[in-house]
Amino acid sequence: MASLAVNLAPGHPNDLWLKNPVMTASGTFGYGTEYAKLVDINRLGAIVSKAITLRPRTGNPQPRIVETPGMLNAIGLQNIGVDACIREKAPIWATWTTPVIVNVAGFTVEEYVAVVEKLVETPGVAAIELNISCPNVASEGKTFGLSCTDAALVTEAVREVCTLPLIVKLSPNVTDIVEIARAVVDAGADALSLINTIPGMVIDIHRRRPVLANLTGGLSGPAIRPIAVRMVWQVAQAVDVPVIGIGGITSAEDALQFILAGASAVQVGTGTFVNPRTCIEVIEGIEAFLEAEGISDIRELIGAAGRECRDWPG
Amino acid sequence: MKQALATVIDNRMIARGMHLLRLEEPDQARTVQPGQFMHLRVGEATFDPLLRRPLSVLRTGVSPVNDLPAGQYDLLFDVVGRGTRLLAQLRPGDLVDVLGPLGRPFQISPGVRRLLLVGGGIGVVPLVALAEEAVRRRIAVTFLAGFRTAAKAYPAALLPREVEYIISTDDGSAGHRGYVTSLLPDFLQWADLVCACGPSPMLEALARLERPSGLPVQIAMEEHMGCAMGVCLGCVVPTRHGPRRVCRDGPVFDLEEMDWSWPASR
Repeated sequence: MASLAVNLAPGHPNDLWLKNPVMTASGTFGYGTEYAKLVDINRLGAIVSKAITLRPRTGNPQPRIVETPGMLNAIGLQNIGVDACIREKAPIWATWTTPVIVNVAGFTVEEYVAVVEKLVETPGVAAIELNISCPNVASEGKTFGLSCTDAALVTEAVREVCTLPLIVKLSPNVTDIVEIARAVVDAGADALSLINTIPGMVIDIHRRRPVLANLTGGLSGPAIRPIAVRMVWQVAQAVDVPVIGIGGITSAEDALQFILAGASAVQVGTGTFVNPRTCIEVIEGIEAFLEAEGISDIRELIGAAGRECRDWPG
Repeated sequence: MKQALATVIDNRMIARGMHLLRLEEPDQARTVQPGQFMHLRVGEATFDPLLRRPLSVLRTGVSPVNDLPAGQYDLLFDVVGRGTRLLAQLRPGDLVDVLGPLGRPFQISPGVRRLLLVGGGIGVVPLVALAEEAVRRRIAVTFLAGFRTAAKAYPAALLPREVEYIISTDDGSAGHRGYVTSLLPDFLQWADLVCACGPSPMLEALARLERPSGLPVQIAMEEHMGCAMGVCLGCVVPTRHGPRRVCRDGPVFDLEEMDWSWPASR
């Protein structure tokens, strides 16, 4: 049997070894317990929790989701808040062999720091994934992840208190994702995950107004995969920390594209809604692919597509 | 609850645009309760349409009240878009990926003797399942159902004989003319439990009606769904305790729990 293990934080004293490179994406696997009847949690590489904020949030009004060729969502970060997360969820996570990575969101640098400070002391929390696709109240509501300065600012502040491996999740809604990636790595990120959803809109032609109450939402699903693969490719060649590929993965073939583009691991998101067994099928499919190709270690494939095309102009 | 491939036994239109899909999957047929739903993948190999479709269970073969074989259950749906149009094309022998049964069912407490059901359009579906369960328990059932027009009415022949079935249509082409909620006041004194399902305006009208104090009212909510497993938070409805998920905390809620001050979804 080929080795599927990957380390997502080789630069961190704790490391972040996963038994395989297949993780759940934030917001698509709840707090990990909801799918336990359908999915063997301990077979997953890692679980990323729903985004957690300092206080509980009720989220946006309805409608929150709409099907497109893909899915558009504007949930509004509804979550139970960090204290309830630590009290009710972390003790369950501590009993699993699969590491749980907590996705953290905030509206000021201080909020991010306060949430992370609480989480790093909590058994059951293996790492932090920073969601920087939130509006920064101190910067006129401009999204943290859209400027190198703000992205670096929040990463640096969190890094100071974050004794656990720190992953920063990048927004694709930027002119040049590579410069954001570099800024975040320079600020201390152990790994990067990308991409978050792509902003979009659907209009109800009979009511003559956008369908979502929030007007816009984040596009996910197979529709965004080629964009995500391209961005993973670009970022993986520019930084020397592990990259986690996210965007429209529904099969092992999809996941392997990301790995060949330079991802050390992948996250399955919307695909889980369609087929709750997607993660498991991706793991099994990768195992079968490695065996068929005679490869003994998944790490041989990471970024292999880039090595084949050294004359790429990007 | 499980994810399983169910076999299509039958699929036919029983009223205009209203399809009855009969599936065989013994575990699901055995465990489903009135008010619960199934989450169906529209095509095995396709991701367009992307999301599953939640459909309420109409009847199950476990009930001695109908003539369905054990191991089978009926779903009923309106064709409203691409997903349901594809589901309407399923043929006997086809396999469908079904997740379920899901959600919190209706609760009939032991003392209930007179059950009033109030349905609007496709919202009658979970109430038919509940009517069958009530008849089995020898509870008197009056079923008030409102439809746009006679051609879209759920057929009385598909209900147990013991159920008193009274319909209204918006255009007066069958039964009483007008909204089903206008029939309600005559029955509220009689009932000791009310269960309702239908469009939001119908449920809101029910919430505003003067009701005998202490009369419990349970409603099944409808909302567009993503995962149906309680994680995506796409289907929440406002309650007095904050947003609650239709897929997991519902679809059945106590009417008193709901907060109607939020704008209706659609």
